[in-house]
Amino acid sequence: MNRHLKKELRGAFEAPKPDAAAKERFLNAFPQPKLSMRQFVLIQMGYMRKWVLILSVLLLLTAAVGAYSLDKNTLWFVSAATPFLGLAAVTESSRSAMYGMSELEMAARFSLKSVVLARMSILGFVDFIVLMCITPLCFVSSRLTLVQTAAYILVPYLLTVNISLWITRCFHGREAFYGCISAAMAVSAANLLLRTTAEFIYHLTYIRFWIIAAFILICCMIGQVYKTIKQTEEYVWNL
Amino acid sequence: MDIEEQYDKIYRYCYFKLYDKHTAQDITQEAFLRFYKQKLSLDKSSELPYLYTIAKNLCVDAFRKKTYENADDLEQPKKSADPSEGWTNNLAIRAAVAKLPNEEQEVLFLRYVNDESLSYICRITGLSRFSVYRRLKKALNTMKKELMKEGF
Repeated sequence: MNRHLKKELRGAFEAPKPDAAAKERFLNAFPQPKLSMRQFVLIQMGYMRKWVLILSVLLLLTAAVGAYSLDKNTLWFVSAATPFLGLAAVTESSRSAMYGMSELEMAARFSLKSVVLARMSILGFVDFIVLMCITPLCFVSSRLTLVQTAAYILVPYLLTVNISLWITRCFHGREAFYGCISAAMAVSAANLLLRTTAEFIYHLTYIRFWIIAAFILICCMIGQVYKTIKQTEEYVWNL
Repeated sequence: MDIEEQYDKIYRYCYFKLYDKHTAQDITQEAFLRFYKQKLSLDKSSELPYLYTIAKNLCVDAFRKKTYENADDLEQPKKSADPSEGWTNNLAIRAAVAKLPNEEQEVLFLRYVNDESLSYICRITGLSRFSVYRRLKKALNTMKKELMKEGF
């Protein structure tokens, strides 16, 4: 009976509809409250899918378990998984373009450019923290130098981010999504394959090439992010 | 906060307090303007209870003003009996609600009409969670008894 009673209560308290014209006039004239940068970022965080964060936590846990058990293979496992972290960040930040919602978002209160920039910043920050945490954890278990550990984790991640950002700019919809997944899987597989077939490149003598590769990829990533943001401005011209 | 969605809720709340469509709408708009004029740095969970509190205080002011102007009419404001004003035809439920004290009506309204969470109701009414829960239960039981008497 309670459920029925609760439903009926809504009717018992029903108020007459407010004057629609007065309401609309008020809402149109109502000054939109200004939003601080912090609030804006927090709102954007709320829209992000939880599996991105879950993936980050899982990666962290793997590294922590590996460090605890001093398993040498932890680094290679984490290194093979970081492309998926990059994949999650890119697909999440360019979700509106992937699902063909860019035009709709451009008509919204916040410009698509600021939304994309905010999402990229949040995901970049989260990934940075995750990478900063897993590097020392893997260093404990890998028995390699800290620079080597950082390079082996960073390079696959940066490579995936670069390729995925390029794909999301050139392709749209499902094509972009599948392209990003393929890129992440290819980088991950190549990483594992090279570990078994060309083990010499992971030797300390080749570390300088890894560092150079990481720097080049960081520069490329900045360029890719710039181009992606620039593209959202081009969309505005096309409207 | 979605202003459009909250507008209707606050309007219903003001109407529940005053039973006057135009005054309720004026107070709703005034509550929103005051809320944003104060520019308080409230956390998200405090915004809505604060808006309700402003609306509630404005309703009290309006009620006092009205009773001062019409000194003869010192009791509760008259509930509209005209169905065109929006009240349902479910007279039995309405009669059962009318028999409840105002405080119980308010928690019932906030919980089941405006769909507010218990924690919000606690903040709006200034009661503890336990008190709100007990008040809701008591109101529902009283209503059930009243309806049973009527043969429902």
